[in-house]
Amino acid sequence: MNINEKVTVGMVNDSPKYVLWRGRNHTVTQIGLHHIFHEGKTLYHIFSVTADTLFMRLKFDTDNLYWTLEETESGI
Amino acid sequence: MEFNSAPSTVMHIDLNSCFATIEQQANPFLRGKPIAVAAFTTDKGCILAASVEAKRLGVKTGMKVMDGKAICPKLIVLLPDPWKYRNVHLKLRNLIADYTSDFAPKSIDEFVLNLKDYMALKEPFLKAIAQEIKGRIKREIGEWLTVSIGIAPNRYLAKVAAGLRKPDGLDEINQSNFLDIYLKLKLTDLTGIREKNAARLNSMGIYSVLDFYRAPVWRLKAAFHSITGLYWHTRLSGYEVDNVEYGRRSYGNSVAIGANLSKIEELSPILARLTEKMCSRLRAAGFRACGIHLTITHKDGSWWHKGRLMPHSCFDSRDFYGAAFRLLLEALPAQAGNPKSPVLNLAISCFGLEKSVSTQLNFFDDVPKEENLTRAVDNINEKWGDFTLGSARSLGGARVVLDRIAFGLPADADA
Repeated sequence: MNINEKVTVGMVNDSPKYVLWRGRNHTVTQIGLHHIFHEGKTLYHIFSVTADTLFMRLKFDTDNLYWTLEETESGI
Repeated sequence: MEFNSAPSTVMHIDLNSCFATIEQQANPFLRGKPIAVAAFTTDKGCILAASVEAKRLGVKTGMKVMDGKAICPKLIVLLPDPWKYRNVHLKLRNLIADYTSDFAPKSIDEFVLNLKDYMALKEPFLKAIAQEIKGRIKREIGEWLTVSIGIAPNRYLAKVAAGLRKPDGLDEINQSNFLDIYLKLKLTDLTGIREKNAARLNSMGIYSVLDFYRAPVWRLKAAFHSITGLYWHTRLSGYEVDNVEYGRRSYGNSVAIGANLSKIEELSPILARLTEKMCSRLRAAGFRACGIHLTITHKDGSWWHKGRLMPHSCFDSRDFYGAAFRLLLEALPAQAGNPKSPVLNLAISCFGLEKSVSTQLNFFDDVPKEENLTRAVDNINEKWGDFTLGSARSLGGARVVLDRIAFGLPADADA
């Protein structure tokens, strides 16, 4: 499901540890993949993670330092 | 020709079910489930990669989504995410570079390593390296990723060996076991031998891989009507003939069109978008081109293609679009008698490449001004993203021409 909402992400050692979304704290349980891409000169980091039964795709914009929750998938 | 007695020094690494496995790596909830990555998720979308679980149920690459779902109703269909795959490719490339500088990516999911100069090379040692690479891929790139590795005295047999067991295979073809392996393979199991080539071989009394290996060169030359017969004989005898790097001779882009489009006004924005994409890649590589080629494949299976030389070498997308559009006009009247045949695939390419070292001025156009304009447009797009600035005529093509991974060498995987 596409979300595209700004979220707060806590990082420890280059990895997301929790995601604060809609007032709820989601603890990251597994990092599936981390990949990067450029759009023009802007570098984006994408973290595909799970928080219990929720899959989350997090995007970090290195220009404005914002995190976006792009999509979620609940226990397919 | 006796089989090559030299030790195996070539390693072929093949990432199993590449796109689908990477999606399962990214989303752990997809692991162990039948999934497919398809060009479109609609019924007629073409499946680009099926997961190991889906393949076990009979889902194959190239099938339509509806056929895959008919075999496996629980099939999860995803759209491709090219940057994910390019990143994994680059991570694999970096990992492999720790072992040898003499390696080449053959596609987004295949690498060939030449370990000839690897110190203290011995057969068990090479298998130990292969095991180490497999372990490192799981630890450093993703625990769900598996590769099949083939080892042989030449590139071709290393690829065949990599295909013997999937997923997660490790096999060697060498002087001591090649006969046993050839005995178990069908002609069409060999890369490069499909029905037509198999029929050519059958016509010369060759029905098995063992027959193929044992056939004299004159018979193979007669079967293929060319020197190719000798190359096949050399390959199957374990000697190298494929260690050749071909220089780039063209740039091209294509698109599979989901909707039923057949009118010029519907197709020209897509053509403009493809042309701009192709030209920006051409210029970024420092080339110009003096030829243009258009191929149109229809949904009824028919196709049309034509190439044309331009009066001089060009770099400006507008020049290429003008020539391509004239080709499109030629193509479409030819279909007037068959209006029920929408376009399935539109492909444009340019050929006759030459390095952009100097500019030929002419009387009628201000070439330096054109150069400055295209350079400015390229700079803006480089800074702000592809197609930030483009021609108005290509706007309608944006929804159709998406970022996709091409077959063959991943030339754009080095971003």
